[in-house]
Amino acid sequence: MSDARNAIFAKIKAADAKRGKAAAPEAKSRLETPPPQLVPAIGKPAPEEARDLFITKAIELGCTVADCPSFEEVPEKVSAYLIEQESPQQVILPVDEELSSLGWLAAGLSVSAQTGSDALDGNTSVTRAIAGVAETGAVAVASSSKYPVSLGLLPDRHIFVLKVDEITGGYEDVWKVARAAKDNQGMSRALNLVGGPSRTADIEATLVMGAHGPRTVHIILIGDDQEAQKPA
Amino acid sequence: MHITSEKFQENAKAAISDEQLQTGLFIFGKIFPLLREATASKLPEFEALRDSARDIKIENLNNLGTYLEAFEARVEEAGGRIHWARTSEEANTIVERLCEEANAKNIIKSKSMVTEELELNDHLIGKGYNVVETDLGEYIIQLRNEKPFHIVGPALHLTAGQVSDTFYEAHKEHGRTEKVEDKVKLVEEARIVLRERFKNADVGITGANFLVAETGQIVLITNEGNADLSATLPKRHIVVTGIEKVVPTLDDLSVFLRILARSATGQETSNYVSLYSGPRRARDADGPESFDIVLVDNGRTDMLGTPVEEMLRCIRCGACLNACPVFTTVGGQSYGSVYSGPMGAVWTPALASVSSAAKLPNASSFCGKCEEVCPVRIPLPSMMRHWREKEFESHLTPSGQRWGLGLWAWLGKHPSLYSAATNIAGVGLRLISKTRRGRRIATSLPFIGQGWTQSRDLAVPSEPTFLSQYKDGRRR
Repeated sequence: MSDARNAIFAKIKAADAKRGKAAAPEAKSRLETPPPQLVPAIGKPAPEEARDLFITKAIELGCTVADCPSFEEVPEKVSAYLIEQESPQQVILPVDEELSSLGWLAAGLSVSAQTGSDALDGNTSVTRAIAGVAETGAVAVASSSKYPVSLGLLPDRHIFVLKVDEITGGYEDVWKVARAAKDNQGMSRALNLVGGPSRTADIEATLVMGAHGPRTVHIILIGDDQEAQKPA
Repeated sequence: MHITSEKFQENAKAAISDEQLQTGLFIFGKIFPLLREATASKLPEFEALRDSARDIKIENLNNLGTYLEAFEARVEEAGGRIHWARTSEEANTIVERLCEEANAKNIIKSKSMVTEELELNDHLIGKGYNVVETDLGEYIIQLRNEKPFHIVGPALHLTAGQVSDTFYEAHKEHGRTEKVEDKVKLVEEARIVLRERFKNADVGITGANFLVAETGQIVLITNEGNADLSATLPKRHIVVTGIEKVVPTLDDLSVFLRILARSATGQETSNYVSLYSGPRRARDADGPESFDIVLVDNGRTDMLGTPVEEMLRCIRCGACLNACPVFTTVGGQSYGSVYSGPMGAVWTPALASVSSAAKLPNASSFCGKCEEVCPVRIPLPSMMRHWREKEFESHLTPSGQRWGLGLWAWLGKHPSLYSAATNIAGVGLRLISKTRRGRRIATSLPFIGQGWTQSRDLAVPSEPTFLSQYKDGRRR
């Protein structure tokens, strides 16, 4: 329907002419070098405040957060969380060496790499994240071989493994990731900012968790400052 | 877009006497504005962000062609396809063809006002497809065969009891025999039924809250995650949206993300803010095989360069509906258009026609609350006035009203007669009025005044009149 395209652009051009100005060259340069916009103070916290702000905001969104000194201890933390949730000691992992190489079995967990949609129903997924957004408390994930998007949507419980130094200030810091791709093929298909469990308030404005996606979202924060604060 | 706005008065009357509906309207009229106010006041830069948002949109609309071309190029680079549609017929035909191409049978949809405007569901269902809405509110009204009550809360006018009845009837075919009333259980039931629909869907149709020209990404914002499921599980993802949704850059997008949820539901952020670009890549573990975007004009370019161009800044937050004393009294269905409240009163005449939608821009007290809360500062009252002027110019205004306005204008041009007439009216009013709770009110007026006092009292103006005070130098 290129006829439609031509007709729509002709009408836009006609409106531009009526306004007495052709499309400005500044628009093109705006796309090439995006000018910064107003960023509120909460979107650019001082580095030492970002972690606490992120934890506060994530909890406000209905997440739970646990600190964890190192990657090696992640399975234990996951196990403890599942006990607390009265859920089976069973997790689904993506194809991600960083996670699959950990001692899950030793921690008493059974691991599955089945990521078909039926296998995910009612289950627990554990995935890495690319960033934690301090401004909102949301966790950023990007689709890849290591992150099937459905792992963050279909299970009942989603556990994110996030390093403290991956916590960033505001949206602008996440966009850097999208812009880092050299071209649009290199860009991730999906960039999701997940702000806690799925929810709805569509019946009488009553908030109910677990609308379509995970009912609980748990964040395991690695390299918490307790380690850093230990005297050398 | 089919509208039934001619029946505004009858519908409004029925809505006002519907007690159940009035309970629902409390959510929009009171709860949402309070929540908006609470979160907005926690962000010191909120007002400045509104200014930025307005300025970005102005620049955006001035260079719409440039940004749409850039967006198109970036989408194609990512392996997506763009389809342009001048009208709702063209848009619906394109979507139908895309579904046919995919040999689809089952379609899931995430809430989209543009597809409501196009009446896309009716079109696809008419062609034999199974189309299921997945936003809980939209799903409920789809089952009830209603139109959305509000652009953000489509089913918030219903009670849990009504939803329970609807689910009980509709879910029998899914083997559910128990009637549940509890809200948590109702949500759970919808989750179970819709989960199966998601898994069996061949095509996912979503709208888009924003399109980013810089990167070719579409932005989907929900609390339920249903848009992400629709964009991820089926083998084909179709995005249907309006051309005005394009924003230049990701930095510009941030400004809108910071004001949208706060204005809409009083949240600091919605739970799922997602950016999608193209179909699944070779390295991806999931995602659709194709990614098509239908960019819809349907009257939008006709608004460019006209006094209602600024309406194209709208980001569909619904704040103006919640702030409007008319909407929060008569509700969405009275408007007879999928776009209701102040924004609907401006959009509907532009998309349908001035003659069929004339009642809507008149359904306003011009209190200005809508403009006060609009995150992109759209001058809604002055645009409603524009449509009223158009209506008057086209001789669509009822003769009684024209006659009255004519008389008023004539009096206004003859100050001594005007002053005499208002003095007589003032004396007359005081004669027939009585004092109630310390205020002079008239409860029953003669002649055409009956139309006013049949349903409300008239406050009698205090003495002396503004004009006589002005003459005495007491008012300037």
